[in-house]
Amino acid sequence: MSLDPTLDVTVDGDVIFRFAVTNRGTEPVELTFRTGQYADVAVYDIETDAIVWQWSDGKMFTQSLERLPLSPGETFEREYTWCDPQSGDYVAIATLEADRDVEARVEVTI
Amino acid sequence: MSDGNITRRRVLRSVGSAGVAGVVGTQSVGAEGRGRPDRYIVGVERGQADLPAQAADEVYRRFDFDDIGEAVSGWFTEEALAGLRNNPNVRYIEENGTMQAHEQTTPYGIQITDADVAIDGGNTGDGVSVAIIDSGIDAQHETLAENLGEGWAAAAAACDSNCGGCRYGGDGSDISECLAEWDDDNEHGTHVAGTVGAADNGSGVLGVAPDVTLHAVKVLDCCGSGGYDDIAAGIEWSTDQGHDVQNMSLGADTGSDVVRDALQYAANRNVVIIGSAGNSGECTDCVGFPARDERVIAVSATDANDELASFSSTGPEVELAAPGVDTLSSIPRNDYAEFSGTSMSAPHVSGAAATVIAAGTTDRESVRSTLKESADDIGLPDNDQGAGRLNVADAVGTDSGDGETVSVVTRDATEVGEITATLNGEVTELDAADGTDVGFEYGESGGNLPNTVDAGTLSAIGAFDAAVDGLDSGVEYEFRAVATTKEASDTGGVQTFTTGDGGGTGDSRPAIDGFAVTDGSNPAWSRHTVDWSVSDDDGDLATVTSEQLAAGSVVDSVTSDVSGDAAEGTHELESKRTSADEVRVTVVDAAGNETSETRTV
Repeated sequence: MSLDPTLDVTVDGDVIFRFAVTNRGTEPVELTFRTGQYADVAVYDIETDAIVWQWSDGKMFTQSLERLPLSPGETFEREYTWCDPQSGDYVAIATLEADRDVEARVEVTI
Repeated sequence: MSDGNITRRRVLRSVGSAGVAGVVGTQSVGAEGRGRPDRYIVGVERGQADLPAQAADEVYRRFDFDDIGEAVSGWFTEEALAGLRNNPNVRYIEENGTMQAHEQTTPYGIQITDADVAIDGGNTGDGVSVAIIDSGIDAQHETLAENLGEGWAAAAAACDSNCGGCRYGGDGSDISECLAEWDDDNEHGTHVAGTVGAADNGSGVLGVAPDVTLHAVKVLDCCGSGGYDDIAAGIEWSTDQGHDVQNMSLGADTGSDVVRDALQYAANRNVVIIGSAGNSGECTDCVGFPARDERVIAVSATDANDELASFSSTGPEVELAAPGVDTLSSIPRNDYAEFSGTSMSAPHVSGAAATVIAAGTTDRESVRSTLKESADDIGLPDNDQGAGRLNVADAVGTDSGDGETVSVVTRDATEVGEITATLNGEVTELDAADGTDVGFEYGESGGNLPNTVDAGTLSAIGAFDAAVDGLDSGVEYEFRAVATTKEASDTGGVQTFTTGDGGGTGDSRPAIDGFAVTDGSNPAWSRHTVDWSVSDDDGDLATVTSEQLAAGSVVDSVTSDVSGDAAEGTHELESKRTSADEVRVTVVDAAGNETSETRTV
């Protein structure tokens, strides 16, 4: 798999997740998205495994297909803000909502 | 903005022609883009015209420009073009284009639903208001501006010409300034609006109801998402304005109480509400929200051949089917593109609802039943097509004249052998005619369908077929169904099939010889490693798919391309927070024969 996912976290009161998927291969890759969701990020309590926050919660999306070509070296990027998180230890998992299973995870301590 | 340019390039590529502002491309040929290649023109040195003429499947025109050289236009296969490109006598090869300025195009969805027939009969939705609850509408589009009414935007979704929130990928339109807070910074809403009500003004595209008033209700941001509360507020605002129809080409898997409240508020005030079924297909019982709500008319998506779109969600809540594959419509600014999705099918129905209301049926449930009773049965299961595929002319009782009408669609080829195949078609509409002669045109892919085969005469709608032989083995063929009455005729879309390659009979089923599952699950993840080996007597293995199922639904799958008479491999399946209870392996050969095995885990 030539797609390289990364999930960067900035904690500054709010938590900002930056999910990036880069084509590290030598061939172009075409991603197909089924809706305007494109990607998602969910935060799990590391102790209880319960979801404490998910970006797509409470949202609806356009229902048209989009094919996104990623040339070698190009990056698909999304930024999500988790407002007013409670302190604790979490695991965040970001997923591409496309025809390829791509995800990145990172531990977050607030 | 470089981000936006990517999106724009995609859009331009999906339109048939570019280069002249406002030019609308020709309609695409096949529903999934599998039609004949476009015509090419090959320029050669003087006296060399026989070179491309012999390489062509069929020559359309020859040019002799004296000293300048000669040229041949016609239909060429990719192989023929590849050979010509390396020939020093070839000066240029270009794809044939059309040059037409500001001519109005009627998208196939308007034709197949007979909306054009309704329009010709004076049914244009005049005086009816349709709310486009979406990402906004281009405030000055050449084919929409004269039909625009009022607009409204939720603060979180208000137009943003910079659109930084979703960053790269799917970042909406690249408009340089917002002309109103409800201006479209995504493209989606403008596309939906064009299908409902693009004006019949000689430019761009024609909508289902070209005299409606379109209201932009902007609840989705430039990235294409919106909150439940903003969507509910948009429904409430539109209802308070007295809009007649609300189109919701949006959705999610989960429902929302506040949106349900808003839907009831709108229904109580006689608003006809239409929603897209969702793009989760192939799947069963998977209609998204709000479409699956009983107050909403859920619309699935079909293509130019009246077949279900592979992506369309289906289920008992589907009430109508409408075109939603490669739908041509408007995007900002004075531009046009083909989009696919149930987002594109719902607005066909919204336009039709407006047409019915304008014709005097105003009660929301009466509008709903009129649309369903007049729909064309296209032979799909009820959960796929609901009452059938939308027919606007029938919904308003437009007589298409005393003349005969016939509609035919092309179905997949069956019993494909090395030199034989059975071609299938179906007459879906036959009015005012005693009967229709039916048959097929066929030929090698990339050619001009030079052969015909007769399939007899039908006196009523129904399926028909014809066997053809004398084909070449291992070759891809194209065909389309043709129906002809005394006064009318119709052709279906182009379908393809590939004959067997002589490596065997082409009809033996592949076998699963080995299938072992290793369970590596933990509380958070269902993880299964599948070791498989497969074989096929006639040596045309095509794919192996491993699927993880939870309560009958596929939650993860991996597919590998395979070939020859034997293959083996390993697939890693994983799904988050599911209780996967079965693993299935399916092997398919090139002839479409498949074998499946399922293990409980």
